[in-house]
Amino acid sequence: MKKLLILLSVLIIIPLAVVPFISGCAPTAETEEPVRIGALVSLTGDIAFWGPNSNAGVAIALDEWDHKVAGRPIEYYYEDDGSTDAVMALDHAKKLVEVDKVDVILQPSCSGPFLGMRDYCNGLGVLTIGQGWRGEFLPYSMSQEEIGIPASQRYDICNTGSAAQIDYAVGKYVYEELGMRTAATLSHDYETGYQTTGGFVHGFMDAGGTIVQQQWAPFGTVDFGPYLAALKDADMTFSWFTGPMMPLIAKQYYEFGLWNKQPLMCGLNDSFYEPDLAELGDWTTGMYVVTEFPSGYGTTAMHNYVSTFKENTGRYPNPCTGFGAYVATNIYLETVDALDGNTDDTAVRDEIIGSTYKTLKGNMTFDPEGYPICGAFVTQVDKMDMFGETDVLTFRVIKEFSNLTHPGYYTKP
Amino acid sequence: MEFVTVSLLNGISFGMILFLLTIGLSITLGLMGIINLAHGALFMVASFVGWVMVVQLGYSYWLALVVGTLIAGLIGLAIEQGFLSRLYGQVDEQVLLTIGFIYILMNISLWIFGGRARMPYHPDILAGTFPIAGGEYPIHRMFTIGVGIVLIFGLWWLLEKTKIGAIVRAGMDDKDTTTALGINLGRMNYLVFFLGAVLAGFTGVIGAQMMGPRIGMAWDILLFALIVLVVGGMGSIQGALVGAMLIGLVDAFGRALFPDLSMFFMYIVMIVILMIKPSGILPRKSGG
Repeated sequence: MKKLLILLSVLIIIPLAVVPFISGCAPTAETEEPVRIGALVSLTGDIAFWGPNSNAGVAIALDEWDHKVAGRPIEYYYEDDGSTDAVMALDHAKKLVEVDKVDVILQPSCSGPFLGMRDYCNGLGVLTIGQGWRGEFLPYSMSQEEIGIPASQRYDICNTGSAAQIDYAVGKYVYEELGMRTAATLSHDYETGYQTTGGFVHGFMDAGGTIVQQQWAPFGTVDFGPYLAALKDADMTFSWFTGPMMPLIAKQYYEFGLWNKQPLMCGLNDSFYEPDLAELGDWTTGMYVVTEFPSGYGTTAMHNYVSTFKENTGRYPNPCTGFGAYVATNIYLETVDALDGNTDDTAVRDEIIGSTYKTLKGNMTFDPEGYPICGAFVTQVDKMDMFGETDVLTFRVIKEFSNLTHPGYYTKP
Repeated sequence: MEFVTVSLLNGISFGMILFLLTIGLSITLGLMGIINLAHGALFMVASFVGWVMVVQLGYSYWLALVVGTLIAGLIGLAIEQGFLSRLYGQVDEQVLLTIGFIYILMNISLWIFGGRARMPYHPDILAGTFPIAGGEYPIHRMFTIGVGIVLIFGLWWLLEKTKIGAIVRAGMDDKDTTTALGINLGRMNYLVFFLGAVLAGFTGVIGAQMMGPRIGMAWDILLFALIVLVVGGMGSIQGALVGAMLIGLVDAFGRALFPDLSMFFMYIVMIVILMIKPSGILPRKSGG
């Protein structure tokens, strides 16, 4: 009897103990592998406010997709790029790739971090998409010659346009439609400064204009007085600086009495947005600002996006990553959806190149060089009633460009 | 003429900010032998405090100047009393500690204010420009020059003509003898450190008229201060003034005339001084 009881116990208890474990291990229903989106965003450093805006933009996109694409759930991983820290960006890119196993990385905003991680990702065939326009994106046709790898091994996509692409068209516009004949430039002394300013200079000169002076100021410049003292007379001044420096130079430009004498144009904007204009004050009215995503642009898509962003965060999106991260996420998810959930980097990259996407600023088609053929805007700072507020200092569109192509790659003259 | 005049004023106004920033560091290092790298972070904190008071809360700039200065001074004192006082004579540890405080203060500021740089602010009375040499020049920059001149004389009077100043100078020249005479150098150290931190804070609110508060300035402004300290020499007002003016003027004219070499001018001056006179142009001479 005792032996029978022991036998029964073994036959009943052991299976009862094991079955749950086996159940847990065996697939009970079909579980889809998630799509993992990674991002390097600026959470510390000089542009530390861009990072939260990037994340807010991605969050809106994921909500719109209901956190699923082609039946697969979406996971989002982000790490800090330190604003301008190439070493941190590379370290965190490695973590995203090797630990988090992401399928794509939204590129860091700034040149240094981007260049720090680009070759690592390209070398492994990991797709990266920009969160906004890029200065130092090399076209695919240059890649073999300049950076030693063929186009087939390039996996970095330039999102929303390049600096030269947009500012070249602006240069022509300034001559042909604003009637300026001479211009001086004062810009940031590094790669993206050369692209933005080079684009403007070549566009302006190709249209017939004369550049009377080019000045370059390095990172860390806080006093622009010396450059303003040396500024030559011209019909206008074109200036481009990243991050906190552009509002600073606008203020000092005004303080030195140049505002009404020689109009200032801010090249492809990644710095100014509504809170900065509100702090600077009404004197900013009339300043020309080149931008990709003016908050007051009258389309339903833009209105809905900015409304949602404001509702979620209490602020306007910053002009670069605040919109660009949303656009990049949508481009990626639409492509994966079109490929029925396939996240193979080569397949996704090849699908993007040559495809057209409807974005916040209109249609965007990626050319064989990896650049998007897209639009941009020239705006003037003005007061507008929008999003339930009156007299908001913002960017009123005065010129809209579409189907802009890349004019060339510029180095420092 | 306009170019030369404006460049001179640019150099002097920027130089004044460098002087105000550096003198506190110089006296602290000269008397106490303490290298307080958190000096730039105190500048940043005061700059933000001033912004909150003037821009967000609408208070008077002058009140913000007092409050920002005091807060920087109190934070500086807390760092000294709580931490640095345990590390006298240990330079490496002081450097590591104060670098740590830079990150602490930067990240607290990031947490409170977010990453967006704030715009420069100044009182309405200093807004606008005045005509000079055929051009226009910001009034607030002239104010900065004036404040600097007043402080030069004020600090000189404090150090050269008062009992406290005599004690400070004696302590810088010969600690042991000063202590042997029954003077409580410990209490004097606190005062000097507080003064240094106060000067950093004061400069932060004054400097915010030109630069505007931002997180990264804690490092950027520290670099300027160290360059001026090396060039001018430690422990003397004259040294800090000469160093600051030299750097300010070389930078102003250099950037205007040779903008492509902008990033090098300050460092070229520093390298030349280090090669010719490593102690700086006018360091404090230890007297008998």
